[in-house]
Amino acid sequence: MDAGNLWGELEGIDLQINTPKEILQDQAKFLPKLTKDLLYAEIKELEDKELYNSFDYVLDEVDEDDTNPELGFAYKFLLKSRFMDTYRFELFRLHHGIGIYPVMIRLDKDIHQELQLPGTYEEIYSEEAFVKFLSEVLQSTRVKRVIVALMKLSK
Amino acid sequence: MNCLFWNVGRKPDINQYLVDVVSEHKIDLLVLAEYKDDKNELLSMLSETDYTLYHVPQIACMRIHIFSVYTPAQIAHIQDASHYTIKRIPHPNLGLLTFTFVHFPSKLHTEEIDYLEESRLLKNDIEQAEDRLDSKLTVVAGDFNMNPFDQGMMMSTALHSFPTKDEVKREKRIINGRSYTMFYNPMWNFFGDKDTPFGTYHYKSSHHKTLYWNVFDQVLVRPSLSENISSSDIKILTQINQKSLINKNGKPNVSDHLPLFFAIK
Repeated sequence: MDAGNLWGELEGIDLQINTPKEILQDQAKFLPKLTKDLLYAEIKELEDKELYNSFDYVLDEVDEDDTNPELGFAYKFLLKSRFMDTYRFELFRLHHGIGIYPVMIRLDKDIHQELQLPGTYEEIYSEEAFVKFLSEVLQSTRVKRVIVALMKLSK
Repeated sequence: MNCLFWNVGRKPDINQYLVDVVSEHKIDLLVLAEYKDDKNELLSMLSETDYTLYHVPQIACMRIHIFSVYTPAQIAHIQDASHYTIKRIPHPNLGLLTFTFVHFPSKLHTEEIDYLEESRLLKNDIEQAEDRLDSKLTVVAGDFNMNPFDQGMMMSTALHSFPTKDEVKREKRIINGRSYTMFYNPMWNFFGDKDTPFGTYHYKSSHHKTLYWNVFDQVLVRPSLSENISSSDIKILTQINQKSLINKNGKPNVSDHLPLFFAIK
């Protein structure tokens, strides 16, 4: 029996998917321009301990002997000052698997409260939703206040 | 180095108490939670005494106010989160110390497991700061809204704090091949009725299990500083300049918390 093409049409598949890390890197590039080169953002990979503490569900994936499980990707988004090299403020942590979505986000408590989000994590299911959510976070009053305070101290 | 932490319970007219306690105890570092009075007025009132303190600018931890004998330029900002702030502050003899000041959320809005989670995140941030600064001269103080025996204070993955200097000499414990750093918590000495007051916070409850007096306000140090603090250097204050902070039944009545004085020698 010839089953024919079971793949369907692949032409319309979008290969231009941006990973959350790429989206964050793009946004990080804006910050120096917006803050007269005083502030910058850094995307840092979470250490295993941070990952377990922040997204405890990944512990279900860890082998008893702590061997390399498929834990996916996890980062934190930090706000820093060029003139206060010891300081950092963490806006959020995120984790996702190889399939990218859903992305789980754990926000700074005050941003979380300001956005009136339920639960511990925010679960995002698409790139479009991630971009929209990120915009809400970066434009929150909490983030703006921290940027202003950090810029004042960095002058 | 004389330090005072006090959750002043949003009391509007607290500044005179603060001026008095700074003078009376020669405070180098005054750290306040739930402070709603006018900080500029406090600085002005202090300037009329022999004492000058500076307000340390806040960046992202708005729940904690720090006033110090050191100028803001002498204090390095290390990290902030909603409920804690990490600073690098000079000590007259020991060089730079890393101070973490904490004001964890009220028990009314938070469950035991949340405190454990928050304590793990806090410990992780402290350890990363210690690594970046290459120093274990760390002090953690504040209103934890936990007692010294609660999970967040004791669990290996959380603050992992112990009641005796002798035990923390080993600096870390290895459990199932993983290493967990330790803190010394002298606040265990403040339970029971050997001395008064019986804690820093009194809570009347009709639950089957209750403690009434809690030691929510605590100071912890790394083993490297354990010989620089002792229970005799720590006082839970019940009066300031002969003005009582407790009612006739011995319960806090100026703020719902009593101030915690500690000296790091």
